[in-house]
Amino acid sequence: MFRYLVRRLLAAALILLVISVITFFVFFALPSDPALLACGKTCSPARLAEIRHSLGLDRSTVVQFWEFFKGLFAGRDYGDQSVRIHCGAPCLGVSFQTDTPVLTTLLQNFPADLSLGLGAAAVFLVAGLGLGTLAAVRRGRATDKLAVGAALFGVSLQIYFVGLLLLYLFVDKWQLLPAAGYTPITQDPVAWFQGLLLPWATLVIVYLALYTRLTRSSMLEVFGEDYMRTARAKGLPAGRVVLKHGLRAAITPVVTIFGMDVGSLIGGSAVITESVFGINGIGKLAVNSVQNSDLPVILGTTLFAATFVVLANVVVDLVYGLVDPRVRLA
Amino acid sequence: MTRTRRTVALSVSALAVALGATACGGGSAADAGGSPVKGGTLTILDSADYDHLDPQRTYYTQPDSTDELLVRTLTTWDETGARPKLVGDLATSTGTPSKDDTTWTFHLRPGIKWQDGSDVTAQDVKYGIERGFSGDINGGPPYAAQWLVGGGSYKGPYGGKQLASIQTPDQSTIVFHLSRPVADFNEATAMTNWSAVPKAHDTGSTYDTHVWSDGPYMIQSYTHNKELVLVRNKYWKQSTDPVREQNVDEFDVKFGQDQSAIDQQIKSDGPAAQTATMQYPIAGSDLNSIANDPTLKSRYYKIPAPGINYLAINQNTVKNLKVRQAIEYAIDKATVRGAFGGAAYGEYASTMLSPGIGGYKKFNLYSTDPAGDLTKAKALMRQAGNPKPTLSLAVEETPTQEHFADAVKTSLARIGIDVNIVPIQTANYFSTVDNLKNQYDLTWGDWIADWPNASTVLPTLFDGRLIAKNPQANQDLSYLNDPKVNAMIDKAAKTTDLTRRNAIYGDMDEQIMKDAAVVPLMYMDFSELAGSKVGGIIPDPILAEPSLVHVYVKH
Amino acid sequence: MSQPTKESPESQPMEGSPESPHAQPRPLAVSTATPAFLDVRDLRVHFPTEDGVVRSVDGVSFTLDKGRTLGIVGESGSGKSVTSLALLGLHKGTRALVSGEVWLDGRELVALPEKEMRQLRGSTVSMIFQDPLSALHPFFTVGAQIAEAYRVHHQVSRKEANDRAVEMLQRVGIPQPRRRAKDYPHQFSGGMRQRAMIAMSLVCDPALLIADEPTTALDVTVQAQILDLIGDLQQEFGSAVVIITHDLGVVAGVADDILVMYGGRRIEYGTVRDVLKRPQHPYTWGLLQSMPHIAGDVDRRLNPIPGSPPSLINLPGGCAFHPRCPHKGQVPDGRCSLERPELVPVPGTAEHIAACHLVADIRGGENTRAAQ
Repeated sequence: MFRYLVRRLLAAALILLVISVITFFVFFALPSDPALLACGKTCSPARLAEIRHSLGLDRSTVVQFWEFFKGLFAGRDYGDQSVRIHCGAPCLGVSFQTDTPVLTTLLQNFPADLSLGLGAAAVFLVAGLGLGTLAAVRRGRATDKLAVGAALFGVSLQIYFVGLLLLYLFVDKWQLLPAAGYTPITQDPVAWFQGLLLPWATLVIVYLALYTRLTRSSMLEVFGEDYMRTARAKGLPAGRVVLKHGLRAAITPVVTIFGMDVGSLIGGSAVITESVFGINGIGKLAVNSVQNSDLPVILGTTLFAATFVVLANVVVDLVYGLVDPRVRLA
Repeated sequence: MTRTRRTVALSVSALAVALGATACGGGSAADAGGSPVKGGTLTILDSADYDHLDPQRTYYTQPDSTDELLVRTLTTWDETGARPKLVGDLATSTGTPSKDDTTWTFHLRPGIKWQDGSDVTAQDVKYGIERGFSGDINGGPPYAAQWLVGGGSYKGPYGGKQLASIQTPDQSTIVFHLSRPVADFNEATAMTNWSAVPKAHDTGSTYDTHVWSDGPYMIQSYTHNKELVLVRNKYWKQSTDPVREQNVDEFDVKFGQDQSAIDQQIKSDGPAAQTATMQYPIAGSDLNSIANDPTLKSRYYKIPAPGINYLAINQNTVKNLKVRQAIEYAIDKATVRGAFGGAAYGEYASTMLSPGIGGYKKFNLYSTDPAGDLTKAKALMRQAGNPKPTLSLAVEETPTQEHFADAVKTSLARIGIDVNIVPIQTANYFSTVDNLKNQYDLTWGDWIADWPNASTVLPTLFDGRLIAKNPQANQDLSYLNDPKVNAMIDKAAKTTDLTRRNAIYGDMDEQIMKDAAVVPLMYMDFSELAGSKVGGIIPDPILAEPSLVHVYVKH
Repeated sequence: MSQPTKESPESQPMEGSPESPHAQPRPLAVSTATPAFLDVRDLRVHFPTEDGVVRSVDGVSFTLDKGRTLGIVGESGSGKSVTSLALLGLHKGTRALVSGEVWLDGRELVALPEKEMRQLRGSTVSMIFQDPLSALHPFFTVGAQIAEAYRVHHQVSRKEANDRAVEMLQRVGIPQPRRRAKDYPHQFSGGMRQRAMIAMSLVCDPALLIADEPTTALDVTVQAQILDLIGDLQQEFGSAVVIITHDLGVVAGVADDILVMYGGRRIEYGTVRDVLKRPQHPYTWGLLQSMPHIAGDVDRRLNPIPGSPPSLINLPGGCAFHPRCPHKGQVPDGRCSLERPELVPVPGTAEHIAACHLVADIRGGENTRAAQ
């Protein structure tokens, strides 16, 4: 188990290294030039060279990657002209645009995604399991059709649409809630909750559909299993049969998808939700960085998100091992 | 004031521009009624953080507008009248040029203080301008480096060197020595990079969040991508400032909400939004409904920008003048404008200089009907021998611009020209088309003047001698290198008399249109909305922003 | 859905003591006068589908006393497994239509509400399923699954239930039962899993044990062990046992009575001795011939019955077996395809019945050849 974990984590580190190499070299293969962007219009070649030097872009890509890689473990110092900026290990670089260490910005934006992702995930998982189970038990009946229909409706909705609609109704029209946004829970728990209510609701509406359908189909598959018949033959009440024997088995594929979703949600994949509700998370940071050709931030957000997805994979496998005793982690 | 940011803001949020919608533009509503009230907090809702707030690094209109509250420039624009008027700001007057316009002298007003109560000196101004030469302090406009003697090789003050062409004989006098005559130098000095920075408070590349104030407000806190809070600077005195007021207690700039959500919020005027305004223009998809809503009229601001949306025709590849002129006649600007959001986007253009710009001359060499004149276009094509060329068209890869490209393609198909649309990622659009390696037959572009003078439009966009000098940042998308135009550019630069100089620019514009180098599409307007309790907003046509300097909150 | 039970005065059983003397030989099937421990009357299980009604079980009756074993034999699709599920009332709450009567120890189960039926399941009636790997829950330990079956019906602590589970595992011959109770089903061998399954079904001392193909998934040596185990435990607990199989060889050694099913109906029913010695139905002959004889002639070829089981939606007219029957030519006038044969007593016995048009003398000629 321990050796398995170590092996998986080493593999994860390797994946992240490969991702950073790819991101790095793809960036330089693209036509965008951060120095040109910083230089502005009517940029003279001399000025361009000056800025390129200031951003450290005048060295070869390989050297730049090595500097980046070294910085991960040893930290780096930036700026030889105006002010020295120290970027402590693990240094993901310093933004071309804001001259702030990328990690600082990431950690600043991360709690928003964590609150947004975990809060929504908890609700859509529990509600999805509940609704999906209900639909499976009442298969073919009105409850099922309602749940499946609602799920289909939810799946076909776009976050962009749901989000703006909720904002319009709850904030603008009925004025039941203050403007959505992120307030740190440490600062004001009530504002934290109120501000995230609509973003959560949006994510839940869209994801709930997926989890209801997933649970329903997984549950129906389990219902056909022999051990479910055994459970009934033992004389277990129907509820126990479904909730204990059924759910326990049906939850496995759901957990797998859930792990991935949570990993990518808190890694910044909720970018549209972030954007609609003005939550400054990793996703928006990533989009902005691409627009601004801000390589250190592109790299940082990519690695950060990848780390969560990769870690989520490891966690899912570990959980899998706990949920399904047939899986041996070795 | 550079063109990219406005464009990005528009294209990203204008996800679903209603096609072909036409409507009368609601006039701008300068809120003259009511008198200023002190106190309260004005909220500014911005879809994205500023790239820079450091006065030497800003080049975009949103932070420029905010910087007007924080930093004072040598000169500035008084926008309370019918037309913006240049006045001295840090300086007592709009500056004194030498006879040949190569030496400019400014005297500083007495009594202007930094936020710590110390005096703003000529040395602070010199230092501020000098730091913009450093590679670390990038992003700002290039004029200082282009004009000041020795500016081409100076690398900023951080190495300990000073720029000799900026002289400060005493604490309140600053003299600039230019390598060539610049008659409108004092209009350039209204840009924020001609402002003071105290050496002791310069934090280099992190100055964005530490801007030291000599304006009516100062930074209380600035968290990137989140919030900027400005509070009163108690050392600022109304008596020393010709344009600014200090009405509200606090400015609270909130970054990162989706533009459509901002539009909706301010439109519905909930309790929080009543005291809010915006800096990015209303999203294209919301534009028509907001512009035409009579209940919003008193809060809706249509601000004419000193800018132009155009289609450049490459002189190197479309060599036949008749063909170029046929294109001028054939483009259906009505459909084109529909793609960009309809009437609220701006008036149809027939010149490169827009009406608010010094040097503007009203003329129209081609079709009077915005939908085009097919008879003339076809006749010109016949005279050209009815070629059936295929032309490439570079546009941004956004729904808006793809609709635009379709409109161009349809227009030109009518005269036998086939258009091959080349969409380019928005973020890389200008760095791609500005590179000499990438030449297209037709290139979309837009341009907002840095100050309302033709000198920041025509010489930059049409001086063919600059093409080779900036191989990666060529602004002459038409690749026009007309000796007549070049000669006029030189002549205008040497002409110190404003009226005569403007006349030259007007003729230059006409010559460019005779060359059929470019199809001007629309003079750009920007539309903004404010909450019902916001007063004192006036349109700032220099930045095309709602001006914040007279703003107050009603209670 | 259960149908309302018709109660005729003569079918009212258990007038006297519900305990029926099981040692005493009694007449089979023909008489309903003596109350049997398990008395199934005209059981029908129909599944409505879009293609028509599937008549999986269509009028099956049999009786069984405590301490005795009934073997229900037939190919897959003959309705034998559906019959066993109906005995547990597992069709309740599904779309299956169940009618007829199942009297167990004086209670009618078909009309019994699910709540009461549930209390009987696992305690009074329990079942051993055919594939223990899929019938045991893969995510719970064997011990926990057995303990759970006990705790459903007994108010005991978790520990007591676990002890009971370990005890049962020991009873069915699992070595180191306390340790193995903590293992998951996949960690058991096939034979061990079936033993665990048996332990689970016996944990509440059921009066009726139904074993559905208990040995199919096992190899021959383990098969014998499991059958011996069931036999031993039956003696110990005194339960009535129903063994469902497609293999006459399985029941030959352990059953007292044999019921042969085809197309959801009974075709032959009698004591194991009668049915094996004097099988009356050509289908039974076929089953006997396709049976591998452990002790018999090694060179003898297995003779599987040609053809495949009939569609339960559209049973062939007349005798359902006639399309596959090699002897239908011996019956005149094509009666086999026209007229459904009645179950009639085999001449000379009162306890052996069969449904076939073949006249007795022809049968007599065949049976000596078929049975060994």
